[in-house]
Amino acid sequence: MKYPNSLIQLIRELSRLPGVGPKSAQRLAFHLFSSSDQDVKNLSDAILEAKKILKLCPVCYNITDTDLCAVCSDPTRDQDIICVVEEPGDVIAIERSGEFEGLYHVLHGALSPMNGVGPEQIKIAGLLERIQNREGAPVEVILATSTTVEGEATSMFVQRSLEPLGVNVSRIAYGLPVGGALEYADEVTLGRAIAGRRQVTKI
Amino acid sequence: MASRYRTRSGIVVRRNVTPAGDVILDLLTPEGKLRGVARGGVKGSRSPRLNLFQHLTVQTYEKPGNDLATLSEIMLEGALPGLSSPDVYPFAHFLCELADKLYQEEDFVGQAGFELFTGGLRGLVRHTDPDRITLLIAWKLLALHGMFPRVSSCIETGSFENLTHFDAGAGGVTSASVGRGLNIGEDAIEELGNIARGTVREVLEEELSDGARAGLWLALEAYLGVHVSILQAWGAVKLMRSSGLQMA
Repeated sequence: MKYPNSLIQLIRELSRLPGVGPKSAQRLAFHLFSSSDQDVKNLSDAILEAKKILKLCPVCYNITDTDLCAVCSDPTRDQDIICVVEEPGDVIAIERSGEFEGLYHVLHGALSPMNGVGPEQIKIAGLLERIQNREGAPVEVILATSTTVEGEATSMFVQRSLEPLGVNVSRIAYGLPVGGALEYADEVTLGRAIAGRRQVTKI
Repeated sequence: MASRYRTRSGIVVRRNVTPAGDVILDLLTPEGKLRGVARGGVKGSRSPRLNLFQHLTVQTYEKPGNDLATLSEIMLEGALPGLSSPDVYPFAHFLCELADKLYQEEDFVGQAGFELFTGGLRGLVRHTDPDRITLLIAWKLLALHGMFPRVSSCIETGSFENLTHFDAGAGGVTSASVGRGLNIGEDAIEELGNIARGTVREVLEEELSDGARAGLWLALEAYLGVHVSILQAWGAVKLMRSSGLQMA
Protein backbone atom coordinates (compact mmCIF):
# COMPACT_ATOMS: atom_id res chain seq x y z
CA MET A 1 0.00 0.00 0.00
CA LYS A 2 1.24 3.46 -0.80
CA TYR A 3 0.99 6.17 1.86
CA PRO A 4 -0.81 9.41 0.98
CA ASN A 5 1.56 12.05 -0.39
CA SER A 6 1.05 14.43 2.53
CA LEU A 7 1.97 11.66 4.99
CA ILE A 8 5.06 10.75 3.00
CA GLN A 9 6.08 14.40 3.01
CA LEU A 10 5.60 14.64 6.79
CA ILE A 11 7.66 11.47 7.39
CA ARG A 12 10.37 12.76 5.09
CA GLU A 13 10.61 16.09 6.92
CA LEU A 14 10.59 14.45 10.36
CA SER A 15 13.29 11.99 9.38
CA ARG A 16 15.59 14.91 8.58
CA LEU A 17 15.69 15.81 12.28
CA PRO A 18 18.75 14.75 14.30
CA GLY A 19 18.32 11.38 15.96
CA VAL A 20 15.13 10.58 14.07
CA GLY A 21 15.34 7.65 11.68
CA PRO A 22 12.69 6.63 9.13
CA LYS A 23 10.88 4.33 11.57
CA SER A 24 10.76 6.93 14.35
CA ALA A 25 9.61 9.52 11.81
CA GLN A 26 6.78 7.20 10.78
CA ARG A 27 5.74 6.72 14.42
CA LEU A 28 5.83 10.47 15.05
CA ALA A 29 3.79 11.13 11.93
CA PHE A 30 1.09 8.67 13.01
CA HIS A 31 1.16 10.20 16.49
CA LEU A 32 0.65 13.69 15.07
CA PHE A 33 -2.20 12.41 12.93
CA SER A 34 -3.97 10.99 15.97
CA SER A 35 -3.33 14.14 18.10
CA SER A 36 -5.94 16.85 18.42
CA ASP A 37 -5.85 19.80 16.04
CA GLN A 38 -4.99 22.09 18.96
CA ASP A 39 -1.96 20.00 19.98
CA VAL A 40 -0.64 19.99 16.44
CA LYS A 41 -1.23 23.73 16.16
CA ASN A 42 0.60 24.34 19.44
CA LEU A 43 3.57 22.34 18.19
CA SER A 44 3.75 24.10 14.83
CA ASP A 45 3.31 27.52 16.48
CA ALA A 46 6.08 26.75 18.95
CA ILE A 47 8.45 25.75 16.12
CA LEU A 48 7.65 28.85 14.07
CA GLU A 49 7.83 31.18 17.07
CA ALA A 50 11.17 29.78 18.22
CA LYS A 51 12.57 30.06 14.71
CA LYS A 52 11.35 33.64 14.49
CA ILE A 53 12.65 35.03 17.77
CA LEU A 54 15.75 33.00 18.59
CA LYS A 55 19.04 34.65 17.68
CA LEU A 56 22.66 34.75 18.75
CA CYS A 57 23.71 36.92 21.68
CA PRO A 58 25.88 39.70 20.17
CA VAL A 59 28.43 39.34 23.00
CA CYS A 60 28.92 35.61 23.59
CA TYR A 61 27.10 34.10 20.57
CA ASN A 62 24.95 31.86 22.74
CA ILE A 63 21.34 31.31 21.66
CA THR A 64 18.91 33.84 23.13
CA ASP A 65 15.48 35.34 22.59
CA THR A 66 16.39 38.70 24.15
CA ASP A 67 18.91 41.40 23.27
CA LEU A 68 21.54 39.86 25.55
CA CYS A 69 21.51 36.25 26.73
CA ALA A 70 20.66 35.36 30.33
CA VAL A 71 24.33 34.96 31.29
CA CYS A 72 25.65 38.15 29.70
CA SER A 73 22.82 40.23 31.20
CA ASP A 74 23.31 38.82 34.72
CA PRO A 75 25.40 41.32 36.76
CA THR A 76 26.02 38.78 39.54
CA ARG A 77 28.17 36.59 37.27
CA ASP A 78 31.95 36.92 37.48
CA GLN A 79 32.79 39.30 34.63
CA ASP A 80 36.51 38.47 34.72
CA ILE A 81 36.33 34.87 33.54
CA ILE A 82 35.27 33.75 30.09
CA CYS A 83 34.74 30.09 29.32
CA VAL A 84 35.18 29.28 25.61
CA VAL A 85 33.05 26.40 24.33
CA GLU A 86 32.31 24.94 20.90
CA GLU A 87 28.51 24.72 20.89
CA PRO A 88 25.55 26.27 22.75
CA GLY A 89 24.81 22.81 24.17
CA ASP A 90 28.17 22.94 25.99
CA VAL A 91 27.00 26.04 27.89
CA ILE A 92 24.03 24.07 29.23
CA ALA A 93 26.34 21.19 30.24
CA ILE A 94 28.69 23.48 32.17
CA GLU A 95 25.79 25.33 33.78
CA ARG A 96 24.42 21.99 34.95
CA SER A 97 27.70 21.33 36.78
CA GLY A 98 27.05 24.38 38.96
CA GLU A 99 30.83 24.97 39.20
CA PHE A 100 31.16 27.97 36.92
CA GLU A 101 29.97 31.48 37.69
CA GLY A 102 31.65 33.41 34.88
CA LEU A 103 30.74 34.30 31.29
CA TYR A 104 30.83 32.24 28.12
CA HIS A 105 31.94 32.53 24.53
CA VAL A 106 30.47 30.10 22.00
CA LEU A 107 32.66 29.44 18.94
CA HIS A 108 30.00 27.54 16.97
CA GLY A 109 32.38 24.88 15.74
CA ALA A 110 35.96 23.68 15.80
CA LEU A 111 38.79 24.08 13.30
CA SER A 112 38.66 21.43 10.61
CA PRO A 113 40.56 22.41 7.44
CA MET A 114 39.49 19.30 5.51
CA ASN A 115 35.87 20.35 6.03
CA GLY A 116 36.64 23.94 5.07
CA VAL A 117 36.34 25.24 8.65
CA GLY A 118 39.09 27.74 9.39
CA PRO A 119 39.38 30.52 11.98
CA GLU A 120 37.12 32.78 9.89
CA GLN A 121 34.28 30.28 9.97
CA ILE A 122 34.03 30.20 13.76
CA LYS A 123 33.67 33.03 16.28
CA ILE A 124 37.33 33.46 17.25
CA ALA A 125 37.54 37.04 15.97
CA GLY A 126 34.54 37.90 18.16
CA LEU A 127 36.36 36.58 21.23
CA LEU A 128 39.53 38.56 20.50
CA GLU A 129 37.53 41.71 19.87
CA ARG A 130 35.57 41.17 23.07
CA ILE A 131 38.76 40.92 25.11
CA GLN A 132 40.51 43.80 23.35
CA ASN A 133 37.56 46.13 23.90
CA ARG A 134 37.25 45.20 27.54
CA GLU A 135 38.11 47.71 30.24
CA GLY A 136 39.33 46.94 33.75
CA ALA A 137 41.16 43.94 35.22
CA PRO A 138 42.72 41.33 32.92
CA VAL A 139 40.37 38.56 32.10
CA GLU A 140 40.94 34.82 32.52
CA VAL A 141 39.95 32.60 29.65
CA ILE A 142 39.10 28.94 30.22
CA LEU A 143 39.31 26.85 27.06
CA ALA A 144 36.58 24.25 27.30
CA THR A 145 36.53 23.00 23.73
CA SER A 146 36.01 19.27 23.26
CA THR A 147 38.86 16.82 23.71
CA THR A 148 38.73 15.62 20.10
CA VAL A 149 41.67 16.44 17.82
CA GLU A 150 39.61 19.29 16.32
CA GLY A 151 38.76 20.64 19.77
CA GLU A 152 42.40 20.41 20.86
CA ALA A 153 43.60 22.21 17.74
CA THR A 154 41.00 24.93 18.24
CA SER A 155 42.01 25.31 21.85
CA MET A 156 45.70 25.65 20.95
CA PHE A 157 44.91 28.10 18.19
CA VAL A 158 42.79 30.29 20.49
CA GLN A 159 45.51 30.09 23.12
CA ARG A 160 48.12 31.38 20.64
CA SER A 161 45.80 34.10 19.41
CA LEU A 162 45.22 35.27 22.99
CA GLU A 163 48.90 35.32 23.99
CA PRO A 164 49.62 38.85 22.68
CA LEU A 165 46.60 40.19 24.59
CA GLY A 166 48.12 39.33 27.96
CA VAL A 167 45.29 37.27 29.36
CA ASN A 168 45.51 34.26 31.62
CA VAL A 169 44.52 31.19 29.65
CA SER A 170 43.70 27.80 31.14
CA ARG A 171 42.44 24.53 29.65
CA ILE A 172 39.86 22.29 31.30
CA ALA A 173 41.46 19.21 32.85
CA TYR A 174 41.42 15.75 31.31
CA GLY A 175 40.46 13.05 33.67
CA LEU A 176 38.63 10.00 34.71
CA PRO A 177 34.88 10.00 35.24
CA VAL A 178 33.88 10.50 38.83
CA GLY A 179 32.84 7.17 40.36
CA GLY A 180 34.52 5.14 37.62
CA ALA A 181 36.89 2.22 38.20
CA LEU A 182 40.39 2.61 36.80
CA GLU A 183 40.47 -0.79 35.09
CA TYR A 184 37.47 0.12 32.94
CA ALA A 185 38.88 3.46 31.83
CA ASP A 186 39.94 3.67 28.20
CA GLU A 187 43.66 3.92 27.49
CA VAL A 188 43.55 7.43 25.97
CA THR A 189 41.76 9.02 28.92
CA LEU A 190 43.92 7.15 31.40
CA GLY A 191 47.09 8.27 29.59
CA ARG A 192 45.94 11.90 29.58
CA ALA A 193 44.93 11.69 33.23
CA ILE A 194 48.42 10.49 34.16
CA ALA A 195 50.10 13.10 31.97
CA GLY A 196 47.99 15.84 33.54
CA ARG A 197 48.30 14.58 37.12
CA ARG A 198 47.94 17.07 39.95
CA GLN A 199 50.38 17.34 42.84
CA VAL A 200 48.65 16.84 46.17
CA THR A 201 51.60 17.13 48.57
CA LYS A 202 54.61 19.39 48.45
CA ILE A 203 57.93 18.41 49.98
CA MET B 1 29.42 -18.42 3.37
CA ALA B 2 31.96 -15.63 3.85
CA SER B 3 32.18 -14.23 7.34
CA ARG B 4 30.48 -10.93 7.88
CA TYR B 5 33.19 -9.96 10.36
CA ARG B 6 36.56 -8.61 9.25
CA THR B 7 39.46 -7.13 11.20
CA ARG B 8 41.41 -4.25 9.69
CA SER B 9 44.03 -1.85 10.95
CA GLY B 10 44.48 1.72 9.75
CA ILE B 11 44.74 5.44 10.35
CA VAL B 12 41.63 7.60 10.75
CA VAL B 13 41.72 10.10 7.87
CA ARG B 14 38.21 11.48 8.22
CA ARG B 15 35.72 11.65 11.05
CA ASN B 16 32.12 12.76 10.82
CA VAL B 17 29.59 12.89 13.61
CA THR B 18 25.96 12.41 12.60
CA PRO B 19 23.20 14.32 14.39
CA ALA B 20 22.13 11.02 15.95
CA GLY B 21 25.49 10.70 17.72
CA ASP B 22 27.03 8.07 15.46
CA VAL B 23 30.62 8.51 14.33
CA ILE B 24 31.50 7.70 10.73
CA LEU B 25 35.19 7.01 10.28
CA ASP B 26 37.28 6.67 7.14
CA LEU B 27 40.42 4.65 7.73
CA LEU B 28 43.36 4.28 5.43
CA THR B 29 44.56 0.70 5.72
CA PRO B 30 47.15 -1.24 3.68
CA GLU B 31 44.25 -3.15 2.08
CA GLY B 32 42.49 0.05 1.02
CA LYS B 33 40.22 2.67 2.46
CA LEU B 34 37.59 1.54 4.89
CA ARG B 35 34.49 3.42 5.92
CA GLY B 36 32.50 2.34 8.94
CA VAL B 37 30.10 3.65 11.50
CA ALA B 38 30.44 3.41 15.27
CA ARG B 39 26.85 3.55 16.48
CA GLY B 40 26.44 5.96 19.37
CA GLY B 41 30.20 6.54 19.23
CA VAL B 42 30.11 10.20 20.20
CA LYS B 43 29.39 9.27 23.81
CA GLY B 44 30.54 6.38 25.92
CA SER B 45 33.86 4.73 26.54
CA ARG B 46 34.73 4.25 22.86
CA SER B 47 34.64 7.96 21.99
CA PRO B 48 38.31 8.77 22.85
CA ARG B 49 39.43 6.15 20.33
CA LEU B 50 37.29 7.53 17.53
CA ASN B 51 39.50 10.47 16.67
CA LEU B 52 41.35 11.77 13.66
CA PHE B 53 44.92 10.62 13.02
CA GLN B 54 44.65 7.68 15.44
CA HIS B 55 45.89 4.23 14.45
CA LEU B 56 43.08 1.78 15.15
CA THR B 57 42.42 -1.89 14.72
CA VAL B 58 38.72 -2.34 14.07
CA GLN B 59 36.42 -5.28 13.65
CA THR B 60 33.74 -4.55 11.09
CA TYR B 61 30.40 -6.21 10.61
CA GLU B 62 29.14 -6.04 7.05
CA LYS B 63 25.67 -7.15 6.04
CA PRO B 64 25.22 -7.95 2.33
CA GLY B 65 23.64 -4.97 0.60
CA ASN B 66 24.61 -2.59 3.38
CA ASP B 67 27.05 -0.01 2.09
CA LEU B 68 28.32 1.11 5.50
CA ALA B 69 30.08 -1.38 7.74
CA THR B 70 29.45 -1.27 11.48
CA LEU B 71 32.53 -0.90 13.66
CA SER B 72 31.83 -3.51 16.29
CA GLU B 73 35.20 -3.55 18.09
CA ILE B 74 37.73 -0.74 18.20
CA MET B 75 41.23 -1.00 19.60
CA LEU B 76 43.71 1.85 19.78
CA GLU B 77 47.15 1.01 18.37
CA GLY B 78 48.66 4.46 18.70
CA ALA B 79 47.87 8.16 18.71
CA LEU B 80 49.71 11.21 17.44
CA PRO B 81 48.62 13.99 19.78
CA GLY B 82 51.22 16.43 18.42
CA LEU B 83 49.22 16.78 15.20
CA SER B 84 46.72 19.11 16.86
CA SER B 85 49.45 21.75 17.22
CA PRO B 86 48.60 24.78 15.04
CA ASP B 87 52.03 24.48 13.37
CA VAL B 88 51.18 21.17 11.74
CA TYR B 89 47.41 20.77 12.04
CA PRO B 90 46.55 22.14 8.54
CA PHE B 91 49.28 19.97 6.99
CA ALA B 92 47.95 16.84 8.71
CA HIS B 93 44.45 17.64 7.45
CA PHE B 94 45.85 18.22 3.98
CA LEU B 95 47.58 14.83 3.86
CA CYS B 96 44.55 13.03 5.28
CA GLU B 97 42.19 14.70 2.84
CA LEU B 98 44.54 13.86 -0.03
CA ALA B 99 44.71 10.20 1.02
CA ASP B 100 40.95 10.16 1.46
CA LYS B 101 40.41 11.55 -2.04
CA LEU B 102 43.16 9.53 -3.68
CA TYR B 103 42.08 6.12 -2.50
CA GLN B 104 38.59 4.75 -2.90
CA GLU B 105 37.17 1.87 -0.89
CA GLU B 106 38.73 -1.45 -1.92
CA ASP B 107 41.47 0.51 -3.73
CA PHE B 108 44.67 -1.32 -2.78
CA VAL B 109 47.05 0.97 -0.88
CA GLY B 110 49.77 -1.55 -0.07
CA GLN B 111 52.12 -1.65 2.88
CA ALA B 112 54.49 0.83 1.20
CA GLY B 113 51.74 3.40 0.71
CA PHE B 114 50.44 2.93 4.21
CA GLU B 115 53.89 3.28 5.72
CA LEU B 116 54.64 6.33 3.61
CA PHE B 117 51.45 7.98 4.81
CA THR B 118 51.92 7.12 8.50
CA GLY B 119 55.58 8.08 8.27
CA GLY B 120 54.49 11.42 6.82
CA LEU B 121 52.15 12.09 9.72
CA ARG B 122 54.88 11.16 12.20
CA GLY B 123 57.32 13.36 10.28
CA LEU B 124 55.02 16.36 10.62
CA VAL B 125 55.42 16.17 14.39
CA ARG B 126 59.12 15.31 14.50
CA HIS B 127 60.72 17.10 11.56
CA THR B 128 61.74 20.74 11.78
CA ASP B 129 60.21 21.52 8.38
CA PRO B 130 56.63 20.17 8.27
CA ASP B 131 55.94 22.28 5.18
CA ARG B 132 58.50 20.29 3.19
CA ILE B 133 57.34 16.97 4.65
CA THR B 134 53.81 17.68 3.45
CA LEU B 135 55.00 18.61 -0.01
CA LEU B 136 57.20 15.55 -0.29
CA ILE B 137 54.65 13.05 1.03
CA ALA B 138 51.90 14.47 -1.19
CA TRP B 139 54.03 14.02 -4.32
CA LYS B 140 55.20 10.59 -3.13
CA LEU B 141 51.60 9.46 -2.56
CA LEU B 142 50.78 10.51 -6.10
CA ALA B 143 53.80 8.54 -7.34
CA LEU B 144 52.77 5.41 -5.46
CA HIS B 145 49.30 5.77 -6.89
CA GLY B 146 50.79 5.83 -10.38
CA MET B 147 49.84 9.43 -10.92
CA PHE B 148 53.22 11.14 -10.93
CA PRO B 149 53.68 13.62 -13.79
CA ARG B 150 56.31 13.06 -16.47
CA VAL B 151 59.25 15.21 -15.43
CA SER B 152 62.29 13.72 -17.13
CA SER B 153 61.76 15.41 -20.49
CA CYS B 154 59.56 17.92 -22.26
CA ILE B 155 56.22 16.34 -23.09
CA GLU B 156 56.07 18.35 -26.31
CA THR B 157 59.56 18.04 -27.83
CA GLY B 158 61.19 15.31 -25.75
CA SER B 159 64.02 17.70 -24.87
CA PHE B 160 65.92 17.17 -21.62
CA GLU B 161 67.24 20.72 -21.49
CA ASN B 162 65.92 23.90 -19.92
CA LEU B 163 62.77 22.38 -18.38
CA THR B 164 60.96 25.24 -16.65
CA HIS B 165 57.20 24.87 -17.11
CA PHE B 166 54.67 22.48 -15.59
CA ASP B 167 51.57 21.60 -17.57
CA ALA B 168 49.12 20.18 -15.02
CA GLY B 169 46.48 19.24 -17.59
CA ALA B 170 48.90 17.29 -19.76
CA GLY B 171 50.61 15.81 -16.69
CA GLY B 172 54.19 16.77 -17.46
CA VAL B 173 56.80 19.45 -17.92
CA THR B 174 57.70 21.55 -20.90
CA SER B 175 60.87 23.37 -21.88
CA ALA B 176 61.19 27.14 -21.79
CA SER B 177 60.93 27.30 -25.60
CA VAL B 178 57.53 25.55 -25.51
CA GLY B 179 56.53 27.45 -22.35
CA ARG B 180 53.20 25.71 -21.78
CA GLY B 181 51.79 25.66 -18.25
CA LEU B 182 53.06 27.22 -15.04
CA ASN B 183 56.58 28.57 -14.96
CA ILE B 184 57.84 26.87 -11.79
CA GLY B 185 61.53 27.02 -12.70
CA GLU B 186 64.27 24.48 -13.35
CA ASP B 187 65.06 23.90 -9.66
CA ALA B 188 61.49 22.84 -8.87
CA ILE B 189 61.42 20.46 -11.83
CA GLU B 190 64.78 18.99 -10.85
CA GLU B 191 63.41 18.46 -7.33
CA LEU B 192 60.34 16.72 -8.79
CA GLY B 193 62.74 14.36 -10.54
CA ASN B 194 64.56 13.74 -7.25
CA ILE B 195 61.22 12.99 -5.55
CA ALA B 196 60.33 10.53 -8.29
CA ARG B 197 63.67 8.70 -8.09
CA GLY B 198 64.82 9.00 -4.50
CA THR B 199 63.63 7.79 -1.14
CA VAL B 200 62.12 10.23 1.36
CA ARG B 201 65.37 10.21 3.35
CA GLU B 202 67.51 10.89 0.26
CA VAL B 203 65.29 13.77 -0.86
CA LEU B 204 65.29 15.35 2.60
CA GLU B 205 69.10 15.25 2.76
CA GLU B 206 69.29 17.79 -0.06
CA GLU B 207 68.61 21.49 0.48
CA LEU B 208 65.46 22.94 -1.08
CA SER B 209 65.54 26.55 -2.25
CA ASP B 210 62.60 28.85 -1.50
CA GLY B 211 61.96 29.25 -5.22
CA ALA B 212 61.82 25.50 -5.82
CA ARG B 213 59.56 25.03 -2.80
CA ALA B 214 57.13 27.68 -4.05
CA GLY B 215 57.17 26.09 -7.50
CA LEU B 216 56.46 22.63 -6.11
CA TRP B 217 53.48 23.90 -4.12
CA LEU B 218 52.15 25.74 -7.14
CA ALA B 219 52.51 22.66 -9.32
CA LEU B 220 50.92 20.43 -6.66
CA GLU B 221 47.87 22.66 -6.38
CA ALA B 222 47.37 22.76 -10.13
CA TYR B 223 48.00 19.04 -10.55
CA LEU B 224 45.66 17.96 -7.74
CA GLY B 225 42.99 20.35 -9.00
CA VAL B 226 43.04 18.66 -12.41
CA HIS B 227 43.71 15.02 -11.54
CA VAL B 228 42.39 14.45 -8.01
CA SER B 229 40.16 17.13 -6.55
CA ILE B 230 40.22 20.64 -5.13
CA LEU B 231 41.05 19.96 -1.49
CA GLN B 232 39.21 21.89 1.22
CA ALA B 233 42.35 22.00 3.35
CA TRP B 234 44.15 24.14 0.74
CA GLY B 235 42.66 27.26 2.31
CA ALA B 236 44.25 26.61 5.71
CA VAL B 237 47.55 25.45 4.20
CA LYS B 238 47.81 28.56 2.04
CA LEU B 239 46.98 30.92 4.88
CA MET B 240 49.57 29.28 7.05
CA ARG B 241 52.23 29.33 4.35
CA SER B 242 51.55 32.92 3.35
CA SER B 243 51.69 34.25 6.90
CA GLY B 244 54.35 31.86 8.12
CA LEU B 245 52.12 31.44 11.16
CA GLN B 246 49.41 29.09 12.27
CA MET B 247 46.37 29.25 10.02
CA ALA B 248 45.85 33.00 10.54
